[in-house]
Amino acid sequence: MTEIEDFAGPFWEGLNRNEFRVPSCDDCGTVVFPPGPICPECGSDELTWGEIDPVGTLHSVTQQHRTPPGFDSPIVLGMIDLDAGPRLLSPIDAEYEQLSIGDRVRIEAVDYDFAFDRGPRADDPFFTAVVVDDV
Amino acid sequence: MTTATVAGISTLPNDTYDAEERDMAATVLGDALDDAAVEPGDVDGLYMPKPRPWTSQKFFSTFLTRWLGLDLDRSLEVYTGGTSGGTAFRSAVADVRSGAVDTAAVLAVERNSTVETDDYFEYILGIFDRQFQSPMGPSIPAVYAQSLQRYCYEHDVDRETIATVVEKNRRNAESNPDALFYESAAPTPAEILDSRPISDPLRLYECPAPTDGAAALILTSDGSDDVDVEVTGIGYDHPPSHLIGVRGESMSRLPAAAGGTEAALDDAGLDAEDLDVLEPYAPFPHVEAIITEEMGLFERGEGARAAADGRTATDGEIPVSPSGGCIGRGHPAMVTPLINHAEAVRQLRGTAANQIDGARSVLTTSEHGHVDGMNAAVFEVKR
Ligand SMILES: [Zn+2]
Repeated sequence: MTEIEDFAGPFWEGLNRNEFRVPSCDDCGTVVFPPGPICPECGSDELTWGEIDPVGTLHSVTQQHRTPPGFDSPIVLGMIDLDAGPRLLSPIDAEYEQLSIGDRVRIEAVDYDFAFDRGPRADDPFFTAVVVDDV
Repeated sequence: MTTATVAGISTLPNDTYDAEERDMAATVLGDALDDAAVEPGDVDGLYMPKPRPWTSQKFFSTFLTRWLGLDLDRSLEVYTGGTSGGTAFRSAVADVRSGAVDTAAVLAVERNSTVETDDYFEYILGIFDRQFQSPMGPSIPAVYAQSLQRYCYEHDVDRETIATVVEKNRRNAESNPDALFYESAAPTPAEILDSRPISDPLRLYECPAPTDGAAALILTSDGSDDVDVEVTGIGYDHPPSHLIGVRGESMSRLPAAAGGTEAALDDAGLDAEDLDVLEPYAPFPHVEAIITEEMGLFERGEGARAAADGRTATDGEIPVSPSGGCIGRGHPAMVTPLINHAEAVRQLRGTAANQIDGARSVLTTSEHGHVDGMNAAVFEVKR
């Protein structure tokens, strides 16, 4: 029988140890995020998991005032371009007024405590970005 | 290839309605059939966006088919967010062109007054990546706020300039009886930037007001002299983008807008400069500006300044959203693409509320997510 793969499973396992584990493409080097079955740049399915240092640059940022049920207002969110290549949307553990495009940030694992049903990831940590000055 | 002509249109003014969706749908469909001088029995294709979850009637197109006694060779009820109405329309045009259908009814209905805000936010969470994004509680304005931020940052555009896009569209809506903000005084840029923050830096007046609405168009393969508007171009583009843009590309760029409009213009055999009017699906002001830039009408960063300088006003070199667009008309997202199409037809018939003198060609768009995919259509006075 064909086995259905949990394509992002190793990411969440890594995050439980505060490691940022992602697959990279053996053919073109692209770091794949969110982790998936193939390289979205070249289509190769030759991917190898490894740990990266999740530091990057704030591409943009917002402070969201109206929030879904179960989320306290406001929420500070940003798009972060990791040095390793991928862009991700992330909560940011900082005051909105203190943040600017171009700020250097690092992704860290945090306990997840919002009333949103994450399904099979319910017991896994989530992540947030913190501002770093030294990288 | 058969040319698809627009034989009939009908829209309800964007507003709040107590009527049931079925009655709104049957009303606009009946009016569009009357406008086209076509009998219900002639309709052999029905195309509509799948109503969103807060519409209690499911299987809407199948319900309508029996209720109205339609006997169809093609039907489609499609959901791809904000592009849905445009995709239904594009599919109808393709079926008329291929000969599969002779008389296509394209229909949309939505009552956003029936959804509680909390339920809407929960629904929206579901369009984000459930594993990696939804758990942080994002909203749609939170994504557009970030592209606005980026646009202003990269092109040194100030917030007052962005607000002039809103002001223009609200002014256009003042004289459009179908608009939510008809006869409602347009706010000044200062008032716009002083309105309640929704997702910084986006303010309330920069966000489209959800409304109820319904619209229908009748497409036919009839080339007779009674029909004077043709659909000469349809296009679609969906790059690898889901709410946070294309990998390696700034959020201030909208590649789907470039690709979708180029495909429709190629199909029509026109250049962007040939167009007389644009009626884009632009839920936020910077999106309208960037669409005009992606079409090559203005340099990067100049789209918003063009609005500030009056170049996209009804008396400007390229009128954009003379109907008021999403911001001036209000925004029933499933219906907005068809309202854009109906406004295009009115411009070409010479019956638009804010008529552009001598309009011969109009381009419309619809998009979903953060302009992840885009439909475009070109309408022309019959050549
Ligand atoms: Zn690759």
